[in-house]
Amino acid sequence: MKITIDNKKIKIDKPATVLDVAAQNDIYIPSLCAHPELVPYGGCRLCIVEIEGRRGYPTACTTHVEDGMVVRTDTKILKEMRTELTQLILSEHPSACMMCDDVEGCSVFQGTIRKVGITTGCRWCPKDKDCEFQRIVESLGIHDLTLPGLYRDIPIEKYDPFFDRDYNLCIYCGRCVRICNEYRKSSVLSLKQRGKFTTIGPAFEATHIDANCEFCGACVSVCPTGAMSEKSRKWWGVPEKYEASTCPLCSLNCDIQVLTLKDKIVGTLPPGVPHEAGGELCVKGRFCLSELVNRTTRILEPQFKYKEGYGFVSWEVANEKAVEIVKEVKPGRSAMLLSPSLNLEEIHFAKQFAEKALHTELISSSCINENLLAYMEMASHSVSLNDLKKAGCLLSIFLDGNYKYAPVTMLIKDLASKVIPYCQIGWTKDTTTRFATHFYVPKSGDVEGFLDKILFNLKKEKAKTKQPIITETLAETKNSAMIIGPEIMSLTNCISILDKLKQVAKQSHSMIYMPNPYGNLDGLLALVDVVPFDEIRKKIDKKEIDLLYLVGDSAFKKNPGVMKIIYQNAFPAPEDLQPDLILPTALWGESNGRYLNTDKKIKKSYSVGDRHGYSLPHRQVFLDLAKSLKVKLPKFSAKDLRKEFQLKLKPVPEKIKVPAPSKNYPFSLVQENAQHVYSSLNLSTGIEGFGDLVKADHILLHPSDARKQGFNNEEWAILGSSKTEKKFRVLIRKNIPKGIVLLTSSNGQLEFESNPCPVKIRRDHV
Amino acid sequence: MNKFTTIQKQCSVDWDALNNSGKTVIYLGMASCGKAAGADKVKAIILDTIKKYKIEAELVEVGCIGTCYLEPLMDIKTNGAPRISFGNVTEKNAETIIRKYIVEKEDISKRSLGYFGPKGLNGLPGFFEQPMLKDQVRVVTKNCGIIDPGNIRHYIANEGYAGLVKALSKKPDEIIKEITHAGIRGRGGAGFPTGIKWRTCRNTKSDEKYLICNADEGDPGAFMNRLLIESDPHALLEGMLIAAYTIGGTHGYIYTRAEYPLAITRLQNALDQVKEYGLMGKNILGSGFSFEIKIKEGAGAFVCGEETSLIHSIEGKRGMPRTRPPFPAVSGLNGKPTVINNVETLGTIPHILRNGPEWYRQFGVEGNFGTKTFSLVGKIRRSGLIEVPLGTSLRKIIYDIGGGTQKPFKAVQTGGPSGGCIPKELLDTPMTYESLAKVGSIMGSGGLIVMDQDTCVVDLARYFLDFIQKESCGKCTPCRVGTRHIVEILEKICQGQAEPDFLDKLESLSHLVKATSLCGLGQTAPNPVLSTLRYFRQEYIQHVDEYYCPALVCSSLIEYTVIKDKCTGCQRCVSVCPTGAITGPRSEPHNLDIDKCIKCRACYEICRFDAIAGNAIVISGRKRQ
Ligand SMILES: Cc1cc2nc3c(=O)[nH]c(=O)nc-3n(C[C@H](O)[C@H](O)[C@H](O)COP(=O)(O)O)c2cc1C
Ligand code: SF4
Ligand code: SF4
Ligand code: FES
Repeated sequence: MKITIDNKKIKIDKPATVLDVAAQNDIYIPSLCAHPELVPYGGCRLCIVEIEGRRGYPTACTTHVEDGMVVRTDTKILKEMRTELTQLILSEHPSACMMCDDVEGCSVFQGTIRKVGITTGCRWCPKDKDCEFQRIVESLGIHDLTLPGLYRDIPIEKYDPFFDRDYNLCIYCGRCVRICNEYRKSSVLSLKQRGKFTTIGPAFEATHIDANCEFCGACVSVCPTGAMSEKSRKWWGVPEKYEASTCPLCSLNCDIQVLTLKDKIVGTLPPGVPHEAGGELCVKGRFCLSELVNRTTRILEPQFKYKEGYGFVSWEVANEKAVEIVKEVKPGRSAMLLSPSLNLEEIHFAKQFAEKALHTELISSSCINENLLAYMEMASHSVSLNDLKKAGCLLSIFLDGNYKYAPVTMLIKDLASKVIPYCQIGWTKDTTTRFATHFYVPKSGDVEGFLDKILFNLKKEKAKTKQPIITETLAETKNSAMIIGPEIMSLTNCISILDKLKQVAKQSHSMIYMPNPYGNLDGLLALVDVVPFDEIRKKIDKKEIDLLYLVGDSAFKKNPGVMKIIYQNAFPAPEDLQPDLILPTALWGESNGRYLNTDKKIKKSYSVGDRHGYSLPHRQVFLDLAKSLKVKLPKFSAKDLRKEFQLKLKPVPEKIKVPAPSKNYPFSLVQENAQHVYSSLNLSTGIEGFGDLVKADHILLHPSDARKQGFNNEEWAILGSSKTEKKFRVLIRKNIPKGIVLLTSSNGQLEFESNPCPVKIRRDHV
Repeated sequence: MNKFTTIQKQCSVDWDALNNSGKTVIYLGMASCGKAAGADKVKAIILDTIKKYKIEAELVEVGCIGTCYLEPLMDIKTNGAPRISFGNVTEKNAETIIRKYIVEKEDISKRSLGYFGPKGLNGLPGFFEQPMLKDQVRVVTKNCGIIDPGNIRHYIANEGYAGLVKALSKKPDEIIKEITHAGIRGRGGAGFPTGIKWRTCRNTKSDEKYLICNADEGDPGAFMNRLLIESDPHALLEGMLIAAYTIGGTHGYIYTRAEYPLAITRLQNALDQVKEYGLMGKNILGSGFSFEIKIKEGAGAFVCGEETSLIHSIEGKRGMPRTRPPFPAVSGLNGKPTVINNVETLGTIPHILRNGPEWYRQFGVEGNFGTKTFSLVGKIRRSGLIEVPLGTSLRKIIYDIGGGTQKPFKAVQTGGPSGGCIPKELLDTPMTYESLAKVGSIMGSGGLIVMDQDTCVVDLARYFLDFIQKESCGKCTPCRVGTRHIVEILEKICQGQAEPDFLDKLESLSHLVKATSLCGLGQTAPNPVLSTLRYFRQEYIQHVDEYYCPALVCSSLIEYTVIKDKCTGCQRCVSVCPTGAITGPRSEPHNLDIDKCIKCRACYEICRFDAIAGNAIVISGRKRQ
C-alpha cells in the first residue's frame, strides 16, 4: 500500500491507522485519546485531518489507511480547528500551570523559607510537567484563553485507597474507562451522566472498593492529566529515572519499573511507556512497594540491648556484639528463621552463615508447615504461565484473585472471554467470577465430598451426577488446566485435599498452576533444606536452642525462651520480642538480587534507590560478620538451585471431621490467613490502603446476610462455633456469597477448630 | 403458502362482514393520543350505553388517523349507512350521540366529520375530503385509525402480509433491485438509500446478520413512529420480515423506549399473533426462511437513536456513538453485519412489494420518491400527524393542511431539535432532503414546529441547544464543551448581557461543533443557531445592541405595565400574581411593582382573557437608547 501524508510518500505493508503511520514517519498529529493498547475512540477530536475524497474532517486515530490515500495534517483550517478544540478543553480545565505569566519563574523561585503548602504554590496539579495535555497546548502554541472559563467544580474524591481523583482536570479522553474495560476487563469505570454533567467513575456513585475495583492502577497510569493521581506519589513531581526490576511481593515476580527521584524510590509502574502501559500488576506491585520501602518506622541504625536498655551502636560495635553472641552459643544450639521474600543471594549467605558460623542446619521460616510443604511439593509440577495460555478449559480452585495474582486473573479473563469454559470453586467472588460459566461455593464439611464426586465422575465412563459441568469440561476438553490457590493451605485436611486434587489432575490430564503469596519461597526451598517451623518451636520448648537468628522474619511476638535473639530486618521487631541485637537492613530496591518464581525462572531486581539510614544489605551483614568470625562464605551460584526437590513429608496426618452447617450454626466460616507479608511486615496492618482492601481481623458478610442480622459496617459481632466464641468487626461486601463468612486474621493462626467451620453470628450487646 | 391463502380469504370475508353487513359497529380511536384525550372514559360510556339500550353493536378499537386535534374520534356504522366519524367525543356527549344516532335513529350525521368508504350519505363530505386530509397521500398510514391494531385478521384482510408472500417468492437480489428502483430513502433522518444499505449488508459475508428497527424516536414532540406502531404494528413486522429475508438476517430487534408502554404492548401482542399464524419463527410460510424478533427497551436518551449508540445499548454498553466507518451494515451488533432502519422506512416496504416500485415512484419527485409522515405541531390551527409526498412545499403543508397560524407566521422548524428554522420567504421550499439542507435545515425524522410572531428566535435557539447539550453523550470535545459555550452565550444574549463579539463567537463555535463532532447529534446541533442567525440576524442584533427582544419573550428584556385608562380594577390579576407585585383597591387602576414582578405572565393572560378585565396589562421591551 502506498499513501501520501503531507506530500510525503509512504509505503505501508500492514493495516494501520493514519495516526500510527504518521507517527512512524515523524509526522506529528496532536492526539489525546488515542492509546496503543486500546480500540480507537475518536473522542478528543484533536487528530482531525483532511483526506482527499472524504467528506469533512475524519480523525486520524480512527481512520485506517487505504491504498492511494492522500492525507493532509497541517492545513490552516485544521490548525485553527485544533486550536479551537483545545481552547474548548482549556475552558473547562484549570490552566494556571500553562497560562500564568509567571510560569517560567514559578518553578525556579520556589525555594523559600515558608512552608511546603505555600511553596508548592498554585501549581497544585500532581502531573505538572508530566502532563500530555500541557504538551499539546504547548505544541499548538496557545498562550491565552479565548473562551470564558467553565470550571465544573466537581467534588474531589479521596475516599478510596491508593489514588485520588479530581475530575475537574479530566479531559474525557476515556482512556481510564477503556483500559479498565477492554484491557483489564474489570468493568469498574464508565462514563456517567450526559452533557455538562458527564463524569467518570463506577456506576451508581459507588466507591471503587464497593465496585470491586482491583486497584491495579491501570487507569491512573494511562490518564494523560492530573485527574487521577497516586496518593503516595502526588507530592514528588516528575520522576527522574524509570528502571527495570522485579516485584518481590508474590511468587509471580512480575516485571516492574521503579521510579526514582534523586535516588529515592517514589513509585512503581508496569513495564512499558509510562503513560501507555496498562500492565498486569496487582495492587501490591503497583502501589505497595514504594510505600513499603518508604515507611517511616524503618530501623535506621544498629541497636544493642544493654542492661539499661537499647542503645544505638555503630556497625563496628554491632559486629563485635554479634561475634560475642555467636561465640557464646554452642554449635548446633542455634536456629535461623528466614523471610520467604529474601532474594536468592540473601538466602544463600544466610544459609552459609548458619552452616559455617552457627554450625546449625535448623533453618526455617515461620510460614513453613506441613500444609505449605505439601502445597509446594505439588506446585513443583506447576506449568508456566505461558503454558497456561494454551489451556482449553480452566478450573480455578480456592484461588481468591482479589487484589493478587493479576497476571493469572487477567489470563483467566482473557481466555474465558474467548469462550473457553471456565469454572470456579471458591468462597469469594473475584475479578474472574463474571467470566465463569459456573461458580461453586462449597459449604463447610462439603469440600472433600465435592472433590470426591468430581473424581468419581471422572473415573466413570460417563459423567452423570451433581457436578456434571466441571467433570465434563475437564474430561472433554484438551489441555484442561487447574489453577489451585494457596488459600487451600489453611484448610483443614489440606494434605488430603491436595491429594484429591492431584488425582483429579491426573485423571483429567490437566495441567496445574499453583502460585503462592511469597516473593521467593520457591528460591528458599530450592536452596535450603528447611525444617517445619513447628519443629523449631518444639526444640525451643525443650530448651535445645540458645540463639534465635531472625532474618526478615519476626516469628514470635515475645521471646519464646531462648538466651539470645539477633534480629536482622528493616522493619522493627514486635515490642515484646526484645532482641539482643538489632541489625538494620536494606530492602528490595536497595540492593541487587534474584528471585525464583513459580515459572521456575530466575528474575532479577536491582538496586535503584538509596539505602535508608545506616542499613546494609543482608548479604553485606553476613559477609562482614563472617569476616569478624574468620569464616569464609562461598559465593552464590545459580547452579546451587535444586531443580527437583523431594520434601521430607510426614505420613498423611489423621483426618479431622469438618462438620456441615446446621440449624444452630447456619454459616460456613472460611478463614483466609493474611499471607501478604513482606520482611515480617503484614501489608494489611502495615499499609493503610491495603488494609482497607484486605481488612485483617474482620468478618466479611454478604449484604443480605448482614441485613438479616441487622449489621452495619464496623459493628462488633460474636462469631460462635460449637466450641469457640470470638469477637470481630463486620464488613459488608458484595463479593462474599450468601451463607459464607470470610475471616482474615492477621496472626496467620486458625481461630476456630476447623476451616471451614459452621458458625452462628450474633450481635455483641454491650 | 396455500394455507395462508385460505387465511387471507377468511379474513377478507370477516372484514367484509364487519363493514358491509347490516351490523352496527362503533369504532373508537384508542392510540396514545386518543387515550390522552379521554378515549378510555369514552369507551366505558360506550359499553354502558350499549348495555343500557340493549344495542346489538360491536365495539372495535382502532388506532389514530392522524387528526390529533379531533381526538377522541368515534365512528359509527349502522345498517344501511356508511361508517361516519364524530370528533372530539367526550364523556358527556358520547351517550347522546349513540342514543340519538343508533337508538332514536335521528339523523345527526351533519354533526359528523364525514363518511368512510365508497358510499356517501346525505351529501356528507367524505372523511378524507376534510381540509387537513384532502391533500395528504396515505401510504404508510393507510390502515391507521381504520383497522384494529390488536387484530392481525384486520391487517391481513387489508392486503396484510401479501408483500411478504410476494417477497418470499423472489430472490433477495431481485427485492434489492426493486427497493433501489423505488428510490426509498431512510426515514430516520439521514435519508440514506435503503436499497444500498441492504445490498451492502447482503454482500457482507457472515454466519449471523441482524436487523434492527429503530423505534427510539427521541425527538421531543415527535410521535410518528409511536403512532404507526400503535395503529398498525403489523406493517412494521411485515417490513422487518421482508428486510430480514432480503439481507439474510438471522435475528431481529425492535429498539424502542420504555416511555412507549402502549406501543410495546401492541408490538408484543402482534409478535404473538405472527408466531401463531406461522409468519415468524422457523421456516416461515414453508419458505425455509427463519427469523425471530425481540423487543429491547431503551432508557430514553436522545443519542441512543443514533445507530452506533443504539447498537452499543443493545449490547448492554453505554449508549455512546462510535466513528463510522465501519458502518453497521458491515460491522454492527456484536460485530456482525446489521441493518438499522426506521419504523417508517420498514412500514413502507410492504407497500412497495405489494404494488411495485413504479407505483411508489408516482409519489414525490426525482431523487425523493414516496411519501413521508410529519408531526405538525406548534402555533398551527390543525395539528397532528400528516403524510404527504416528498417535494410538497412547506406552504402547502402549513396553510392547506395545517390551516395556517392564528397570528402572523414567523418560521417553521423542520427536523426536530437539531433542525433549522425556515422563514416566511422560503415557504415554497419543497420538502426534499437536498433542498432542506440547502436552506440550512434537515428532514430529520419529520418534526415540523410552526412558530408565529410570539416566538423569539434567540430564545428558541437557546431552548434547543440547551436540550442538545443536556443530551450530548459527553464523548467528544466539540459536542460536550462546544454546545455548552453556545448555550452560555445564548443565555447571556437573552439576558441582555451580550458583548459585541458574541455573534461572531456564536458563529465560529457553531461551525466548529458542526465540522468536528463525532456523531450526527453534534454535527447537527448548531443548526437552530446557524439558521436563525442566517434568517433572523436582525433580531439577534436587537438583543445584543439594544437589549431588545422584539417578540417580547426574553424575560430579562421586557417589562409588565398596567395601562391606567384601561384597567377596570377587577382585581383578577391581584389574585393570580404569585409575588404580590400588583396592588390596588377594587375598581381603581392597579399598580404593578416591577421590582417584585417575576414576569410569569399570569396577570397578562388573565387580563386579556377574563371577561371583566380590561386587557390593561401590556408587555413592552426595554429598548436601550
Ligand atoms: C442524535 C441522533 C438521533 C437519532 N434518532 C433517531 C431516532 O430516534 N429514530 C430513527 O429512526 N433514527 C434516528 N437517528 C438516525 C439513525 O442513526 C439511523 O440513521 C436511522 O435509524 C437509519 O434508519 P433509516 O435508514 O431507515 O433512516 C438518529 C441519529 C442521530 C445522530
Ligand atoms: S480521568 Fe484521565 S484518563 Fe480518564 S477520561 Fe479523564 S483525562 Fe482521560
Ligand atoms: S457528537 Fe455529541 S453525542 Fe455525538 S459522540 Fe460527540 S459528544 Fe457524543
Ligand atoms: S486522538 Fe483521535 S480523536 Fe482523540
